[in-house]
Amino acid sequence: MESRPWHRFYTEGIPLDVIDEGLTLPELLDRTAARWPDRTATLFEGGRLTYRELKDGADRLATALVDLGIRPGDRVAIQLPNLPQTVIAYYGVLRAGAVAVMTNPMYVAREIEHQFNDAGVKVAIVLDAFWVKTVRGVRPELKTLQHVILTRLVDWLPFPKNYLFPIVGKKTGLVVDVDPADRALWLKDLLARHPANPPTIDWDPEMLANLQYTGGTTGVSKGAMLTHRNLAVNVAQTAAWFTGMVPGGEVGLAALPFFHVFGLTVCMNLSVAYGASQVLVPNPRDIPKLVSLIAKYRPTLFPAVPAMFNAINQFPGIDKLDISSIKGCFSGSAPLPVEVLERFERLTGGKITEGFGMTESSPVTHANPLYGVRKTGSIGVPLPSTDAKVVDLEEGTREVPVGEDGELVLRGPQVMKGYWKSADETAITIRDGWLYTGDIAKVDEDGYFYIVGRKKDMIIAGGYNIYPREIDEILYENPKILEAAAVGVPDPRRGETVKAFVVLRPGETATADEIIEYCKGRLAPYKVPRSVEFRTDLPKSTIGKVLRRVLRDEELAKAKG
Amino acid sequence: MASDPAHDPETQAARNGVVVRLRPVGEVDGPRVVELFESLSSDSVFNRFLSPLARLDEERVRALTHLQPEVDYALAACIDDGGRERFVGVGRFRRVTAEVAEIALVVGDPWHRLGVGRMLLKGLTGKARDLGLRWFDSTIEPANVRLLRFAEACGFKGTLKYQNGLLNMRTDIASLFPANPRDPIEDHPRP
Repeated sequence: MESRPWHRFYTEGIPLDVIDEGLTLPELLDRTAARWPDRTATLFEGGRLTYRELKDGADRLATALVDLGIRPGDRVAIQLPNLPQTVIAYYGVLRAGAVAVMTNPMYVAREIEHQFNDAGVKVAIVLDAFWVKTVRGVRPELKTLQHVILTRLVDWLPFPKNYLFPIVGKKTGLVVDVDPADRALWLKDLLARHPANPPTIDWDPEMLANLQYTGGTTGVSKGAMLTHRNLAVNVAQTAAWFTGMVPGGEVGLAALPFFHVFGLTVCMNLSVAYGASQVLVPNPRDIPKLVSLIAKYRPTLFPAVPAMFNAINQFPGIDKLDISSIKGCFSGSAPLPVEVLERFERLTGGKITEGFGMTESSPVTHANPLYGVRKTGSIGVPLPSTDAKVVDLEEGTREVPVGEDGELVLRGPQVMKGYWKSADETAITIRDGWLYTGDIAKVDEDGYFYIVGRKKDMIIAGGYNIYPREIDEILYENPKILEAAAVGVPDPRRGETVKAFVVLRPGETATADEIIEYCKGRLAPYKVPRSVEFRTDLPKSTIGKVLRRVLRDEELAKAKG
Repeated sequence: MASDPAHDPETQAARNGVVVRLRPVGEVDGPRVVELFESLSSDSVFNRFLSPLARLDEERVRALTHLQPEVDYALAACIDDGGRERFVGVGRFRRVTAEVAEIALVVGDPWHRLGVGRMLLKGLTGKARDLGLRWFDSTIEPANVRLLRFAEACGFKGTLKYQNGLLNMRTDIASLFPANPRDPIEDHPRP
């Protein structure tokens, strides 16, 4: 890679380029399992899976998938929280040469229908509770789905929890009864009945590994096509940043959900590639549990979103707990307030590197040097083998001077192949090999980048991207609503949160709670408006275009007091 | 509605040969405006209103058909649909200052890529020049690639500024429809 201003800020040990080994993700697992077969791969509720067992499970699942008719390139959805079987499922799918469609467990039926049908999902691996709650109801609409493989939360629990859990779990809805008429298959049974005899694949790192759904620029959910190379190289780029990381010697706290590309790469795949043990956290919002896991298992690596760091900072009595094992953290998905960073680093003695990424780049592209110059408010510098610049907002063809605002564009081996079945949107997003991020940024004379705004009309709440149009469409389906506009408003915990402005039809009445309840059945929880304000009219341009930004500006002015 | 495109300046032939007549929108055109709205895809609705409206309510229809002279101008592209007049597109602008007007164009989805948008824009441009306007302003979805290409093919010169996820486009009216126009359908640039 050509010399760039930021290269002089790479600390010792960080290469300008990572070596692209040309390996696929299953091959990385094979290598780790060969090198550290008895090392703990996953820890969950006291139960342990070794890398030998992880590889064995993945190979068995691959064999089973082939038996079910899955062929290389076929899409298999995985809708699971962070569990041992999630890692088995992911690597099993890839081992069969298939493409993983990681699916948010919080999705409602409408969202599942869109994603599964758009991807052409043939097999879905789902937690039984999600199946009963949501997926089963939408099954008739899933046009390409041939088989459903279920797994229970209890399936990889150690004794005696596997006996006790069904008693406790019934009350919380985590233990469900699945109707035999659903003709679902069970993951544990499949692994028991199939040998570890996965198909021989003529591996090519350019093969698709994931269809990772995201809103892109328009907000309509589409699959970013991520190849094995994209994901494996991004693991290598991220690992190169954590100088001092000991292959085979680290313990990662996997609180970021694996269905999100941030958790997929920086937690799951990074751990597998480098033989780290992962402490699995299915519910990262259970902060007492999160804190107890840190104290018990003493993780060394903790990638997270600012809301998690902040929640730990605020945990009652945290000052008295020993969380000093944490040496390196990666913060992404939303801006990290400096006071949150400073307190967390004081509590742990570790370092947080704030970075940037997007689904379309696997995701990590930038980071502040962990042990070098970190600039407050900056997303840092491009990672090894990554190039970035700021171009004019109008045409996107001219690099703007240092300090001037423009659109951040990226280039590197982690950039996706394109959007699935969306050639038009791919064409406007990737031009001449550059990924147009849709984020407004500036760069300083040292090559540190700063995000200053968004071209995209998007809300970021708790690290999740939310597109207002999707929420508006749901609101407009309510017969009581004449007009609606969803807006991102500041939130001290989530960064932003969704507020809905609603104009009711003449003669109609409704309460805010009613509107919120209406949304709950139709949107994943993180998209549901947290507040509703009723108006007689929405701000519009002179020819009737709804001006969401006026509402947002009003809310920002209120927040500033 | 018999008109001959060759002799009536307000009548033109679309690319599929259908005769399209341009005329100002009037107060009685509510039903035609609603019918046009119902022919729009969800993307077209969103691009026009920046909101996924499910329907046009009475107040909106009134705002779209009851126009202020000297301030609003709205032109409809009409076809003969089995003996009755039907709107296939509407272009409009509203004067904001002496020299600036906000503009919007919408063509029903079944009639895309037939030259209707170009006809409407040409009609609006002529009227705007007559009124002494210099700039058209528009707030658009950045992902509305079709509109951006269309504007370029019609000779767009002006500024594009991003603000809060939308694109503010200011068009120099004098730049539109230069002497050697590019065909917006056949000749628009590819990435």
